[in-house]
Amino acid sequence: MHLTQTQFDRFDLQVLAISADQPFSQKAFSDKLGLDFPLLSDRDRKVTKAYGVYDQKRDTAQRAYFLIDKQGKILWRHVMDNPKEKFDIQTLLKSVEENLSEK
Amino acid sequence: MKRMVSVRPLISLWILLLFISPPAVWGQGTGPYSPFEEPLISEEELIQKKKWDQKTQLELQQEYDHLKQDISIMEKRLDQLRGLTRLNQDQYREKDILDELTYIKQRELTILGKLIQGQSMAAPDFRLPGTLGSEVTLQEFRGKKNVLLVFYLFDFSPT
Repeated sequence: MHLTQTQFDRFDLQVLAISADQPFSQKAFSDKLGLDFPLLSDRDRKVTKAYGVYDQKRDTAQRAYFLIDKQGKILWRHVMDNPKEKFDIQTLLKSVEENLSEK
Repeated sequence: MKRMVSVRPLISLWILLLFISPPAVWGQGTGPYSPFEEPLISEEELIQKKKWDQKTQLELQQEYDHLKQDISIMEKRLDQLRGLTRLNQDQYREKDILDELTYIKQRELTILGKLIQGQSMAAPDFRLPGTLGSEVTLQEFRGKKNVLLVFYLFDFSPT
């Protein structure tokens, strides 16, 4: 089970996924899973570095979630220093709900 | 035949002993986890994490500045080493410094991330090519929608 945009529609929220992969690779990945949100290609890792989630050792992004509100402020952030960390969608939905309702 | 019969109680005694006092190897490094499963976060990392959470913004900022200094010093040393005639020994030293530099840079980024979290900072804007046709900017959602950014490692890796 993977993330879908429809799970987050009730929060008036757009899901954007970012990795350092090539766009064509992302396209294949997206088609295979039938993802309903865009995958963005951060080839030069600039965005990844700007958000402080660049993994020097692997030359990729760390696994991370950023919740950004309509004013462009980061409300909540979860970075998985250990790539094997499990963070399921239910927990994610709960965190999003809590952080959006606190406002 | 007689011998077979006499060995049997010995075996059962041995099995019984195993149950009472299992060899030390079995219990090694298991802790709260199953011995067949790699723990998600090691004890050490957990302690480290707790320390992180207790640090104040000021302490983080100081550490961040300090790391930046370290990085510039190390980069200078690296340049110097590269300028020298290449003895074998120097190559080893160069590798050591490179390793250390990589480690410190990683820490710098981690701290930067922590600082961002603490200040509920403005999300840096971006413009990136997306799979749904056009380029996507963060700016276009301003005032319209909340955004969840998901950073992931590779395509075709379980997210």
